[in-house]
Amino acid sequence: MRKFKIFLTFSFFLFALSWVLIPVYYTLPYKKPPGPLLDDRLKKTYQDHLVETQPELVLLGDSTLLDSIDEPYLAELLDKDSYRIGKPGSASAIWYLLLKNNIITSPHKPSHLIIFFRGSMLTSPEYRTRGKYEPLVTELALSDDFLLQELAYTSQMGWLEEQADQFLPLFAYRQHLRTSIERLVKYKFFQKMMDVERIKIDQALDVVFGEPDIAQVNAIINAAEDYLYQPEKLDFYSQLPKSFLPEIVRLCHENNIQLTVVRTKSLTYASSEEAPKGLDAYISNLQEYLAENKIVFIDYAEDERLPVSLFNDSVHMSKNGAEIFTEIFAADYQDILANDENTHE
Amino acid sequence: MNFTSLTFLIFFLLVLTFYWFAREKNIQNSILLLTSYLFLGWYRWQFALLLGILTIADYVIILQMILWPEQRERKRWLVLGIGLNLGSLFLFKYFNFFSESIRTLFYLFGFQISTYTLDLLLPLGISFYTLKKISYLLDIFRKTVLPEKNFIQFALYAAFFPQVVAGPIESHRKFFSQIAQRRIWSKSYFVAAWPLLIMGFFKKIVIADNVKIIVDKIYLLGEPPKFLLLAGTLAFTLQILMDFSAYTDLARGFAYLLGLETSKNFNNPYLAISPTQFWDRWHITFSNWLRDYIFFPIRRSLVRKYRHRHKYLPLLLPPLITMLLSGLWHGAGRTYLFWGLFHGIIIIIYQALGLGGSWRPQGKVKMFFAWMVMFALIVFSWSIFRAPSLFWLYNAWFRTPWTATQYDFIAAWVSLSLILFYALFLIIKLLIDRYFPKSDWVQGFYFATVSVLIIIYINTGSSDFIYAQF
Repeated sequence: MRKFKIFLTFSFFLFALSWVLIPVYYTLPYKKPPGPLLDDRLKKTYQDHLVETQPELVLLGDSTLLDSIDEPYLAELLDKDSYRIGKPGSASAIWYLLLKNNIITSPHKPSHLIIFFRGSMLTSPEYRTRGKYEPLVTELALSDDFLLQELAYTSQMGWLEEQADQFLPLFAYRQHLRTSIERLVKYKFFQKMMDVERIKIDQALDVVFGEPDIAQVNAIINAAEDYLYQPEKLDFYSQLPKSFLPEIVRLCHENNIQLTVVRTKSLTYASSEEAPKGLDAYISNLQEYLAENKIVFIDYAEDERLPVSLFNDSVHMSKNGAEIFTEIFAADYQDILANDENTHE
Repeated sequence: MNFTSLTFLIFFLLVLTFYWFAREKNIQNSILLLTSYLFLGWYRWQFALLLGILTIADYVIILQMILWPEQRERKRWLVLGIGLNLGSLFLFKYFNFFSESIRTLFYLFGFQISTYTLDLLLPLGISFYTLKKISYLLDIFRKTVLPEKNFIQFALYAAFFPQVVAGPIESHRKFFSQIAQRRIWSKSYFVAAWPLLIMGFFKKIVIADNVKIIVDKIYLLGEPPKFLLLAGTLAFTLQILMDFSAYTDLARGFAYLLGLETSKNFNNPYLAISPTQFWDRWHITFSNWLRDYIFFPIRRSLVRKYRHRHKYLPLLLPPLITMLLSGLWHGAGRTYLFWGLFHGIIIIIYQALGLGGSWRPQGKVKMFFAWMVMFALIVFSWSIFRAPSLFWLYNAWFRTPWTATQYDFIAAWVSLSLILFYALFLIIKLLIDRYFPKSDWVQGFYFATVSVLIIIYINTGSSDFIYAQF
């Protein structure tokens, strides 16, 4: 028991030290609000591009959008300027922020916004918001975004985690500490040992680990995507009020932006029979909700014109796949645009 | 409900409260049994149901074995019991593997046949509780142990939640002797538990989960150059020990808090100087099981049969069969089988060279050399174990250069630096245990430091334990 008492004393001492040192060393506030530390610096590169190119269409999605839509080709087929924001690692939180802080605040607002999603991405607000994704979120958010804090972070935390995130710097700023430790080992220690420049180390890691074996990557992607297909995530009406979707819809309506939601094809499940039971119900509820709000919905999940051979892995398309999908999508969207114009006439 | 999740910790605190308030051993055991099924059913209720059905069936079989005095009749019940347990293990774990292997074999000979595969989920803990129950059935048959007639105690042996997912494969003698009495809270339980719990969390959250990132990146490459593969394999060597020994430490720590002592599973396995010594130090409860229920029976039967001719067979076959089965137990895959075969072969080679059993080289240099060779063999064996396929492994070891570009060289060194960083905490622990085993100040400071690291590295979701997948 003596050892335990000594352990407690040392722990108390180290924790007390961390309370003082961490906020001072990183010049961070104590107490921290739960969730990420937001400030009023905003990344506006997307808005700048909008102003510069004045597109009519904006396409929003994650890395799969980059690999499935050929932007110049789409513009050519539709005869309309488009801007593709395929942000790798993004999901509904980032799409909401892009819309709120870059698109609708822009002097040039597009008339059409098209969001590409899969699984329950649209109603899983916390998906891809923590850990390595957190900086992607914070660079697009303002400090007063309480909806973001609530939906993506605090509502997902238990009481204990929320308290630790506010009052325990060791826990709250653990990402900073981890990065410092990793940098110390990766750069300082290694640089001294091998006399290699820091930029070369980063390049080496990017190049060597940048092209993994596709068959194995699929297994990892599928495991990560599993999150989107859990039974509670597929309960559309219980997820909807907790998600960014109603806010995205509202922002589009208020700004006269025609929203279109596109469900992309994914090979996570080889066939619809293998897909989770609740997925069909989820999609039909989503469709119903979108229809009520006059939002166009296009579903490519079961499209046989997009065979396995057009994919590089279970979610990303090949160059050839991108060309074919762009043509399919352009044809479908042209009909939508024509209908839209008829309605306006 | 992973051991490192908050849900489990709340669950465990509730169990502890009810358990220590109970004043009767039967109530204590019933609480443990109920919560063990709740724990397993938390993952999927079907897992708990399967264990329940198999446990009832085994209990009936044991009662029949007690009832029948004739050896022949008892043997029938034993065969039924082993068949039932191995049959369910085969069905859930190996059916698809063998089905696909048969189809491949026929295809190699130019025949195309269609075989069935089943869409079944591997029930959690089945590999572990099957071994526990088989050993118990065998010992009842051999009359080396008195049968446990109390159903709750018997069922608890199979389902005890700190051990059900990934062991240790506790000996029934040790377990029954403890649950046959009422447990009364003692401070000594806590004294034994807390260092294990801290080390368990530290090994899993700080070391295993972070080293896993390096391992996964390297083993995801199509054809990693040898130097990079070596770095990845060294990382996996560290990861698998940390992951599995973390689970064991946590299981032992939680069991101690329930007043039950469970067996050690690791004893510095990477310091072994021979394969026999490695298996005496790695997954000790499993090694003991293999030794008692596979290795010795095969050797005894071969010695009897080939006493006068083919004298080499009792030396060759038992390690080979035992290690092949050990590989197969780990998973239904060719890499696991090959891993087992590799260990079987090195045991035979060491024995043939007279380096088996309690062999120890004379002098520090020879000792160091022996350790180096054994460590290299262990590391190589882990590359077989972790490889996505044998074809991938062959390409990586025999067809790629040491380093293809300067970038490979840098990436490998960065990976090695990170591995060294994480391994450093263990090396320090080893040194502290060796030079300051009784210094509460040094030990206390070490545990406080690793606790700080646990908080820094804690994640909202920790990856599953490797051995929970077996």
